[in-house]
Amino acid sequence: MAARALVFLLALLSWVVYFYAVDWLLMTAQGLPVGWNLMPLS
Amino acid sequence: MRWRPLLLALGTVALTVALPDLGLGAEDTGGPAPTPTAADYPRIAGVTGRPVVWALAQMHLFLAAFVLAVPMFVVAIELTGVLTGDDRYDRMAHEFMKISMAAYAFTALTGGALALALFVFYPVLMGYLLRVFDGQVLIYALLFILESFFLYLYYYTWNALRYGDRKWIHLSIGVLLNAVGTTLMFVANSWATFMMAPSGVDEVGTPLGSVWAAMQGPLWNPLNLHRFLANIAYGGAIVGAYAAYRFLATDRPEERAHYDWMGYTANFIAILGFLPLPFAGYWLMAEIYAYSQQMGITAMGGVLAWLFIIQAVLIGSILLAANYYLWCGLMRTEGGRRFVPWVKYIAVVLVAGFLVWVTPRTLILTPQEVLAMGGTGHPLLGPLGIMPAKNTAVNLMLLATFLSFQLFRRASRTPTVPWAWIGNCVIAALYLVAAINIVAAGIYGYITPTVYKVGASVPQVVSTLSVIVFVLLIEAFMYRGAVARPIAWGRMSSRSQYALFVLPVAFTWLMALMGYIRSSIRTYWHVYTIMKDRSPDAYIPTIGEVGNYITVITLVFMAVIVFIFWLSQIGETRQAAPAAETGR
Amino acid sequence: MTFLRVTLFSLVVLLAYTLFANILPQVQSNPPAEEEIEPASLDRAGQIAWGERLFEGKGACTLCHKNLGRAPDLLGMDLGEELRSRIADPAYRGAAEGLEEAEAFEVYLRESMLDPSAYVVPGFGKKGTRDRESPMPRADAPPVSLTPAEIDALIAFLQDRAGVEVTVPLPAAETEVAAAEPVTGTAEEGPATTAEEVIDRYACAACHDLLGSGAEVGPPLAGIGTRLDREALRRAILDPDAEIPPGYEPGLMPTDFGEQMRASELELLLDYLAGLEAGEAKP
Repeated sequence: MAARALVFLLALLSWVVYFYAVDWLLMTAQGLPVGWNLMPLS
Repeated sequence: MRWRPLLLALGTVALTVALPDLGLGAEDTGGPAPTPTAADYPRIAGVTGRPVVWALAQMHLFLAAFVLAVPMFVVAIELTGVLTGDDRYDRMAHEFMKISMAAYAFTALTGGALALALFVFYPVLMGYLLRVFDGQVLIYALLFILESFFLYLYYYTWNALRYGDRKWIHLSIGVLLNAVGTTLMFVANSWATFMMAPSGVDEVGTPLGSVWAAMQGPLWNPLNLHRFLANIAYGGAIVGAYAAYRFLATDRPEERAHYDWMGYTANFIAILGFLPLPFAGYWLMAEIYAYSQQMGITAMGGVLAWLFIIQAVLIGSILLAANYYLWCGLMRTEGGRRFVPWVKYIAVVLVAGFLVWVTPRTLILTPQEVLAMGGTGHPLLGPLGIMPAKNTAVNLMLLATFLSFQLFRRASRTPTVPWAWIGNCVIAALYLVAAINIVAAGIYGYITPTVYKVGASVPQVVSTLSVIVFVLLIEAFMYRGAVARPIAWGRMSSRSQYALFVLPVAFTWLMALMGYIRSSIRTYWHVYTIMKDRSPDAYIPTIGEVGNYITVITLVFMAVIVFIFWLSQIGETRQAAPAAETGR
Repeated sequence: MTFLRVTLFSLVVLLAYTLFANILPQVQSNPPAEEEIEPASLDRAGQIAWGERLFEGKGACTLCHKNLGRAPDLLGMDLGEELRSRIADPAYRGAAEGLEEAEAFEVYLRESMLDPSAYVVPGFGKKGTRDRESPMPRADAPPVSLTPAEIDALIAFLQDRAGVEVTVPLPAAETEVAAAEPVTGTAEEGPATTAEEVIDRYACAACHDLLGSGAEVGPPLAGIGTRLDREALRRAILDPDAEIPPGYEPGLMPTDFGEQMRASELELLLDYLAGLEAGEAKP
């Protein structure tokens, strides 16, 4: 059970990194105003 | 191989005639686009051009979409049959083809009628388009001849080229047939996209001498991709209905099993073509905006915007029907039953997404209602009416549909690799993060100005695509050497088959609707910015009128397709010899 | 039996879609009416009202210029304040730089319609161009195709909204008072009333064989009405160098007849030319 939870968390983390990178690339490539948290800059 | 020299000669002749007009020389371009007057639009027996051309064009497109799509997946199924050595695939592929053959004659018939109607009702426009596309018409004719040739060759050599090396020759003919068919469609598309976003002409419409430049408008490739995918989805939906009908009409278990399986495959093809369709549509719309923001806004935020609400309802019902069918299919296997409890959660996502999608941005309200609500947008529901909310909804709905499909696949197989549980964890995490990312991008889109809203939908689209790609990839490894469980084909409720009728009805209506929108965003132009439409039909009718007319066209098409099904079925029946009858 | 049930089911689904289409708001959109307006008869108030109609109608401005964030909401803002701050913006490098109030507004507004990318309001540029390119189409080009008088009327309407003096000329006065070019010629005279008068006033016969002049500098116009339609004739007068018949030199015919002639004079001339049959121009 613990191993299962650990793997799940690890996977979760990697996907977060993946989607963060993809979002960052896509948003900046389109010239959208984004901050580090991917939310719009005021 | 007697026909080869003939074909070569034919091709050479067509090319030599057409080449000078396809980008070389071409001095005489004939000046700017003509300006038709109201007198240039004949009225025949009180009927103007639009209703006639609209109906014929739509009918031709329905049939052509079907006829072009079927050979595509037939070749794929035939290949599957060869690779797996399972004869059932080959039989089904042949049966699909049989339906398509009967439809081919109708396609040519409506195509001819459409061309005739166009020249009769819009002589000035057609004269101009012929001038622009010039030698391309010959290429088109040649492609049409080739298409017919390969189609008949492919169908009638099916049993002659059945096994071994000969089968590969047959498959090659199928590939050639599809290559020609796809090219044929691309060539035809160029006329439609030229009228929307003219290229290869100057600003008053004088052709610059290259047909290739006129074809390569900014919207050509997006439309090519969109129609290509939609055709596959549409073709799948129609043969699905055929299978569903045969399933319902028989009591024999082995026939039920065959048509259940055929219906499942057809539904699978329809969904496969349908899932990437919103992304192709997104590309097309983005190119329209890039070409002319005014045109884009006319479609999405102007007089045609309400039609996209209808589109949402249609897509919603397609997704619900397809999912419902998949859920019913879970009962075919022992393994599927354990997924049944999940279904209700997927259903919640789908229905919620559907509701967000149909929430209109603004409504026609009485002043009292506006006052009571504190504005034209509802304080709570208003935010759901705008694009980011709808994009979020559609992406989540696609995720849910893909999950249904994934569960269905898992129902019949058990993985044997030791790391299967890790794979499951990774996939579960992927769904979770992707869903959160889609919602977050939706929120981003909601709080930024309109110009960024479109940009914010790109990460959403990529999230959905990521899930599809990664899950397919992981499962491909995970299910290597998996234990297959038997599927009880034919063990399907009758009710589930009705979902397979919703698909073609909704697809047909949807196709007519989207085609109408595509054509209508030119508003009162034949060729946008170059040639005005001065006919009495140059207005955009009300949504109700459009809906009624689309329903009429759809009804006629359904009648035609039922007739085609009947034709392909009557071919199987054989009247008993009179002697045998009297003998009893 | 199965067939009937399936047909009935499909019809019900179809009917549901049709019904849905019929309960949505029903609006028919007609092509913009070709407004029968006699610009010469307009006074200032009429011109402003005409501009307002254009803003919502033919100009299709409200497609974007409203409160949806697609383009500046011209009617929802304090237009005078906004224009002042834009022209004063150091990033602004257009023709209105250094001009004062009403005049600056006129130049700025005209520029924004004829060359929308000259200055893009921050945040409203085409995506990915960092506000260097405007998504707005030129107001004088298709599909909008406003005439110079219509653009004037729009400027009048917007100047009025901005609360400054309206500086564009009335359509009745000599058209197109471009800031740099002084008005020449016929401002004091009334409009010509016959085609012969028009030909005389603009000296067409000096180069073309018209009214029996026998001139050969420009192409002969006998039977021109059978070769070119009215629109082509109009283009040939307003933009003569666009198409030059073989054997004749470009650049000889004045290109500013669009400014010099009155609309009524141009129409008289077109009527005359369209009616010319082969051999008629020669006596």
